[in-house]
Amino acid sequence: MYSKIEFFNGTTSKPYEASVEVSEGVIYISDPEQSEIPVHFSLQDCHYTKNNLKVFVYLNKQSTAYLMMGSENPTWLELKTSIDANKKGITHRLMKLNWLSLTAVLVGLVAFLYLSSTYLVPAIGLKVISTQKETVMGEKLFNSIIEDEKIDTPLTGLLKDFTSNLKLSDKYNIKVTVINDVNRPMYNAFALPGGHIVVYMSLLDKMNSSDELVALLSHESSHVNFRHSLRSMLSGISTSVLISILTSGIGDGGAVLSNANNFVRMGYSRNLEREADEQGMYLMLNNHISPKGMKALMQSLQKAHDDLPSSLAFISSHPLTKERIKNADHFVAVHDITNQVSSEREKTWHSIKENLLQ
Amino acid sequence: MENKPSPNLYSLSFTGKGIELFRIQIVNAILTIITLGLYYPWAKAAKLQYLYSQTVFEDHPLAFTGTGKEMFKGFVKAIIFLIVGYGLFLFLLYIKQPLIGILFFYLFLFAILPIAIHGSYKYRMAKTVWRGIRFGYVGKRKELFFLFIKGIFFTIITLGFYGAWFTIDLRRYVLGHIRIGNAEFRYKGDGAEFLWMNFKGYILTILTLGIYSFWWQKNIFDYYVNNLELYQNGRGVMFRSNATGGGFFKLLVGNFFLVIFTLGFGYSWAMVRTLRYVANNIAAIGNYSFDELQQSQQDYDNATGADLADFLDLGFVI
Repeated sequence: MYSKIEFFNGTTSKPYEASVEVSEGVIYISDPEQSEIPVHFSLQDCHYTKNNLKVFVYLNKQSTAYLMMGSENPTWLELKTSIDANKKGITHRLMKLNWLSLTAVLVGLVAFLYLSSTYLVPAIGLKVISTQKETVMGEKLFNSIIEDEKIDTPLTGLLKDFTSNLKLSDKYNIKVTVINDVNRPMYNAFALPGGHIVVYMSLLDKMNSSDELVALLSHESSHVNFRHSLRSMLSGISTSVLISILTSGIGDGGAVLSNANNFVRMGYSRNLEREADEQGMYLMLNNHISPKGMKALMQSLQKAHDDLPSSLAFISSHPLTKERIKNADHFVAVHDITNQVSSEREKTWHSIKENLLQ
Repeated sequence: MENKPSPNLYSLSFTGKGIELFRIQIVNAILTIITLGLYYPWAKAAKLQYLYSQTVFEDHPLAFTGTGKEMFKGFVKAIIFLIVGYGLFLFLLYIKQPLIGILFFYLFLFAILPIAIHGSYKYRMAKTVWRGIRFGYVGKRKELFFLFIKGIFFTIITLGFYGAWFTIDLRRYVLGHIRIGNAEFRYKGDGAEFLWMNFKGYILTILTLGIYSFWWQKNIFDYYVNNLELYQNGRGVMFRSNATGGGFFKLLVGNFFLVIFTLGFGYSWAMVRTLRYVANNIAAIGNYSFDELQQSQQDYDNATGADLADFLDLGFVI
């Protein structure tokens, strides 16, 4: 004896014992207590829920009328087959996939979108944005950054003189600026799209030779020449837009995604640094200066970071600088040349150093 | 079942499984990605439909009948509403009226909260069905709005102390206007009690270096549940919590590790654990015939308020 089928009609919460028949897409329900004429519902509107050993077959979209029966009831099996046959659409198809396929679809999709936002969108962006537009953008960025900083005018002038004797870019007008960071040493320098290079005084102070300064300027100019900041900005924006879309949908997996993104971005910027080092050393060769200067610059940088307070010290133990020194070593082994000393450049270098002492 | 002298115990439970919810979340993620985020309302509907269907009171599950389409429409309206509000604020700043702009911004924010709460209860309740009978929210937007104005005003001038009364007033109003068919919910909390409980919780949490927070959490939960009643024609049930501080400790610490060590992928399991704990620790006591509910609440398809609440990250339960 199978368990009885209870029918809830959606008018009251009272159950009625009922018998069920399915025919040509319609469910007929007759309950002896209510009426002689069976009520009927379209199979298309039906859906069901399973709970423990009971099943609930909702008969309309509002889920007000439904049937309750044991999952062993043969009527249930018949209803399930008919309702499932009516279910179409991508959601149901995906719900039916096995775990392996489901994971593969998700991973494939995320990877595809991620790669296109990291590489494809920036590539298109670089094509679309002309060097003129890039320069205008860089100028705006430069003005907004410089607003809160103190420019050292004499040093900026000297660095300009120093740069004027170097061939650093064919396409861009390289403009250098020195920022006074005596109160809060940054030991840093950066390049903006379109040609601005900003150097902090503390970094100049840590340098031991004019070759190191040439290495720094060549490295930063390579960022400009290869449009690294623009590329990195474009991929940063497109991935963060993508991630915000994904997180709104996934919710929980989003945290994983944005953490993963941080890792990938770190790798991305490392690759750009590596490229700037290498291209910078080629620029040094073009200017008849030994790429050994690059290695010396790295060592000065490492030393500067070692002097930082312990809270920041972990940066110096970062393998990145060591790896960069090693790369510079390899480059030097293959390409080294003898320096062509320029007395004018050396003179400017000494003026810079003297100015720093004041 | 009727007129029994001794009260009956009616049980609530959650029968969902982490793996089932996870599958729904994965499918949602795939479709959200493909549609660049537009699937979100449908994803939300699918998740809610599952969670409701696994919440069982007296052997019958709840059903969520809201649809992605309704929530999508609400989503669009909510966005337009927010853009217009924000646009007006920016416009006022643009025409150099920062004072009026900021005043407008706060008024807009204060106005939006009751609108979002009202709308989201109205929609959610109309879309919640148990034993074929729709829930309903019969509160008035205007009344809720004035309750808000009063609450915010007194909370500000009492430096936050009135906040406890405000919270309870709000809860009493909102929960007291929830119906299931022709039965009414009532909430009988009291601001002073609530303030004292939170004050005690706060002090003891500090003194015990955080350990008491789980018992505080239990008290907050108890205060919510134990003051809730359901009535129909003078008969009714009281809701009772069986939660314990230790239970909350196990739940919350467990969930923390479950989410952290799986890099977030354990979220579905954490959610299921939470719902299971909450449901298993709520029971109803009294003499009531759940066969006598009558369908009497109207359906309501406008999800704008619910989507606004979603944007503001209000959460559903106050």
